[in-house]
Amino acid sequence: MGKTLTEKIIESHLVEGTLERGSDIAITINQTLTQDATGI
Amino acid sequence: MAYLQFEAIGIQRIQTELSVSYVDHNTLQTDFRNPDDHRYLQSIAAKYGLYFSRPGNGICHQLHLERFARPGKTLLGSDSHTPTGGGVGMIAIGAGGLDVAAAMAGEAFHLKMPNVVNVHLTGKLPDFVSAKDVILEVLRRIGVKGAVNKVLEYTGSGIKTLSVPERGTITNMGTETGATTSIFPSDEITKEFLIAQERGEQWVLLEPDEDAVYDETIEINLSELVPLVALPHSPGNVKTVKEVEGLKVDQVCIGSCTNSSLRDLKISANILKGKTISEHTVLTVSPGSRQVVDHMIKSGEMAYLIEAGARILENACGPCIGMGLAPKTDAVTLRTFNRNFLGRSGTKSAQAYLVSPETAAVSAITGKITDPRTFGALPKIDMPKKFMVNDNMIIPPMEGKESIEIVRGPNIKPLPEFNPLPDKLEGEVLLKVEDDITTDHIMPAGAKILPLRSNIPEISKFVFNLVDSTFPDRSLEKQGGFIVGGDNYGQGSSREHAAIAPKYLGLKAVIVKSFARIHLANLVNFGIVPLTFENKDDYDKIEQGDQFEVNLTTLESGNVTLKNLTKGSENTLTHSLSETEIEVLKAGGKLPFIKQKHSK
Repeated sequence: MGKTLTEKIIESHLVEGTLERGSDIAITINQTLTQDATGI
Repeated sequence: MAYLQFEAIGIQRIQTELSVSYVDHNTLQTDFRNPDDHRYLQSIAAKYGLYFSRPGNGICHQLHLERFARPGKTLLGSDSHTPTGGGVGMIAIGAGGLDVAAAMAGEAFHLKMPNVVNVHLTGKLPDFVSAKDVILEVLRRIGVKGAVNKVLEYTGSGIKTLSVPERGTITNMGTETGATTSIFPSDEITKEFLIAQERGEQWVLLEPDEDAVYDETIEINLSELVPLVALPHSPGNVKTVKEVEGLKVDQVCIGSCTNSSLRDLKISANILKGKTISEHTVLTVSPGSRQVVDHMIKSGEMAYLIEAGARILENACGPCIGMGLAPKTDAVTLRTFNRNFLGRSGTKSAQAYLVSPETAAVSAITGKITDPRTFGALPKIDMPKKFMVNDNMIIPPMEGKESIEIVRGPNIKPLPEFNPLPDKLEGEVLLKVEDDITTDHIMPAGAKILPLRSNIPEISKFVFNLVDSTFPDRSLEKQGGFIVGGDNYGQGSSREHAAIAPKYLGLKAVIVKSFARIHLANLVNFGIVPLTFENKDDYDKIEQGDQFEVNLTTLESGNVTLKNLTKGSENTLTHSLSETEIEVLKAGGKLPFIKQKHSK
């Protein structure tokens, strides 16, 4: 069964859980951004 | 709170591949608070290894798309419109400050695996219909809660007609559907954009498999779309422009993270070329970045806007978040923005309508809401093959800056200390409240209180302000204690301050009939024990001022004992905490929990 682009990127960053819909997962984060109102 | 929280974690350097700190919201600088914040952010970036985009450089999402967004990567941002990055084929998600701080410290981001919706685009947009109308069509179909716990993934032949900034408009405003994020593939159009931004080497081909299985499909034929508008006061309240045509317009605002790309300003300028705006209409333009402005000046097109009567604002969020240019009383304000909530413009009686740049520009000339297709021939615009890249207002990370002193203005206070949880909690019931206490009851917002968000001691003076204004003083005097409440305690927004500020005042545990989900998580994150009555009737036997003793040694078993020393009674309390949440609580909250992990 083929994968969606979302599944592909999430799967390549997955550190906890599976692609089962609604289940708890954890993914690694490559980049972050903040703006000044929430960054402070 | 992201950087105050990051500082509290105690890591020397960010652990991500790339982190960027932008300044685009609070740029009015009506007193020392904003510029103090800017200096603080700049010193944090220098010390911990972030890029710092200086005030005036532009709007975070437009800038991130231009300079940093990268296909196949993940991006977490402390702003709900972070999904703009999905325009280049990345998973870009908005989150709270603590989650972003944790990600900078190298922690994974936790979420529910979303359903994936195939938004299948065919055809090609007609003249005067643009990317904004595509996302307004999605909103017209599914509304503002239609994509909660879903990702909107765009596919089909129609996507080949949309440039990256147009895709960014669509993924940006996808947030208004409640989606976790939105994403386009990374294809030859993405490649062209990255090459034009001198980042061609960052391109990779990323597409769904041909036999990918989606949870749902939305079919949109771009050729059939017409100019659309979101009526007050919800982005989901979508009609055709035709249906509201003729309504007199007092203000037109072009810009914001949704519609401030070079393409959007060029089409607006060329519509306005040689014209004058209506005498009863004010037109503002807030460009997305210095790159956009640079192009507009050098091509001469900025002059078309100025000559037509536009008021050119700083490259910042500006009127979109009510930072200046508030409309007049009862105004109709036509905006290329993504939100039109009541009062957001700064004028409570104003009626905000959300439209494309084409509809905005044409309506500014006529002074009334006008279907832009009546304008005549669509002006041709030339997009550059190469953008003018000049990153001199983005300060890059530097090595060996650990000794840098953080610059703190008088309004910026460090976070309170979070101590490990003792085995026994003692103190009095500081407050007994009813059912349905909201986070607005706990930590009110508003113009007076918001500037205090980086100052926990000050903002905590407003905790339960409308319920019992003596609460903060009493809590500090008694060195903290307990809150007893009814059902659905903590419903409403996700604001972290509804937990941090009571924690600062010494709140030890909240004992209620039931909790609202997000606030419960926030209590755990900040080390306040959330407990529920095993027998809801026990609530009635408690009075404000009772002395409590709660033994936590049995927390793992699911039950703890509450001794009411005043009444001489004992009650059983229960909880819904996972093993990890108990560990977080015992550490004193998520910050010390992460800190402990990193010190091991």
